[in-house]
Amino acid sequence: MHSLEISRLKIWDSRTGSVIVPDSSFRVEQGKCLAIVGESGSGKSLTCRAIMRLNPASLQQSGHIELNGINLEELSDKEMRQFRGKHLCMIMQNGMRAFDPSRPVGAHLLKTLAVHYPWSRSDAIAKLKAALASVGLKDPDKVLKSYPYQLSGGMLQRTMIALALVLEPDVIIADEPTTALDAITQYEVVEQFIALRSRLGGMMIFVSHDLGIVKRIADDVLVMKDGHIIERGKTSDVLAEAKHPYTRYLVSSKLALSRHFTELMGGEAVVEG
Amino acid sequence: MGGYILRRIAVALPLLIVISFLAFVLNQLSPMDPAEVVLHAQGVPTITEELIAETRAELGMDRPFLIQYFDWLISSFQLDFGSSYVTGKPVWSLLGPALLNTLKLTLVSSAFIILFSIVMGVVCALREGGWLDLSVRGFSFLLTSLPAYWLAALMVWYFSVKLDLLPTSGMDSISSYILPVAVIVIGYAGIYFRMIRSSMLSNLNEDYVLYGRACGLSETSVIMYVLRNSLQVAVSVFGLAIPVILGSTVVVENIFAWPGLGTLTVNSILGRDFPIIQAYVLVLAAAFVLFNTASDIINAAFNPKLRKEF
Repeated sequence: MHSLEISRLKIWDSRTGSVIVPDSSFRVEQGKCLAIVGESGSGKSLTCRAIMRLNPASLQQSGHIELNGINLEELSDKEMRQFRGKHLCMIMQNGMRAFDPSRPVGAHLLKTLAVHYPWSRSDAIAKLKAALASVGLKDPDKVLKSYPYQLSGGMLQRTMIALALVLEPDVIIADEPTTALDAITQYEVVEQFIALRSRLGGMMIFVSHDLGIVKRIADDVLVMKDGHIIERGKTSDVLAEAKHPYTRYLVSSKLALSRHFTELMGGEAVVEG
Repeated sequence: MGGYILRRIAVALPLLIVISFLAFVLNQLSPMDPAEVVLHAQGVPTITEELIAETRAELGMDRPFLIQYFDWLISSFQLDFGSSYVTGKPVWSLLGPALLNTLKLTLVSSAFIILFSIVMGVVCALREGGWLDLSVRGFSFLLTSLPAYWLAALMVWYFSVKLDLLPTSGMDSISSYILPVAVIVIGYAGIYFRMIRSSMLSNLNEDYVLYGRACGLSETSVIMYVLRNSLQVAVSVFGLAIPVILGSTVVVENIFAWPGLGTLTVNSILGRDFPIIQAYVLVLAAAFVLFNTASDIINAAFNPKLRKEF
């Protein structure tokens, strides 16, 4: 019962008629993390947004999207809106652009909580502060009062994770959440994602093109190319013995890069992933 | 915020001084000798060299250039722009009431322009590509491309002459405002509506809109986010638009015999009445600086990031 099931998802541009994702089916089980891997333009983000029904109006979709037995395609716009945030939570790629630039970050967080929960303002603030502190933000009060431009990308990424912690959604969809970050911040944010998974125990879809991160966080992998799912399976299997040449290419280029890095660093340094 | 306002005003003042200097220099460069203008206006039959020299001394033009300028600048601050060469009346007694009339026309027109462009811009952006968006854009394009003098003449012919509903000219009652305001609004609303629309559209494509929706916020809340950010562009645009309209009512004022700045200035230019022209340039430049400063301050109130950047 507790699963997210996507079957025969098709996404096409109604203006040009071109099909972007022809026929995708996959399933995420309770407590599992599915990584979607692929290059830019492979349809990863559009697939995620299709699940949330957030693609622009010019993009049409068909197929069956079922969360815990509820067919999302059949929900009215209003019901779907109540689903977003509370059941399906998204974490964006670029934290710097994810918040209204002319309001403090806290305004958006409180507004979101007010939509989904009947908590008093002071309760909501208390919960947010606890969540912000738990993702390693030292001064939650200051974060709530800050404008987006006053915080770093990593801090805003953690803020989105903290909001997800408070919302306790069934599914977290993270669309390349580490791409816009530098390596050290990336490492810390991935740690927070792993912690988020273990604390919520829900489902997670993690879009990335970084196989190193995928190896650390995901149970299963989907490899997408030009809108098609070309390979799927357990993360360790896919990374170890890829069947499709494209996946082998992705893995080998990653390995070559790591080897080159090790050589540059002059020795035996262990490069994860 | 207080600091920002002070810094902003501190920049505006030197700008005004520079503009006042340019206004003064430009008139000095004119090939007409002001003394000659005055003598012509007084109806002196034969203008001799001595008479010109005498008049120049009377006008204080035999003094060094910079002294003349500073003298003029300091009196300007007290709204004393000298006397008209043609009528001999103090400039402010002519310019003041004309400025007030033009301001009335400008502010009423601007209010409608702002109202129409924001409403249409927002509605069209939200219905991008729909029939409403396409027809409003097409229609506004058509209206904007109509020349003001032609449109004004056409409207006078139809509403005042044929239907006899509205006065053809003058500034006697509220109904006198309708036609001039309509001509100005039709000319400008189409331009500014496009700016609001494109600013809305670029904001609608921002990540924060997607994240707001992904968090389950209502469409109204998301549109409020977009509005707040788009209207910052609008504030800057209108901060410049109002003085532009103030300075370009000439055509409309002439057609509708509106006793405003436009009419006064055209007559002054034709009569080479330099003190009025100088005062007009200064007043208009001051209006530009004033509105621009005000719009920056309003934007900084909206967006604290701007306060730091300045």
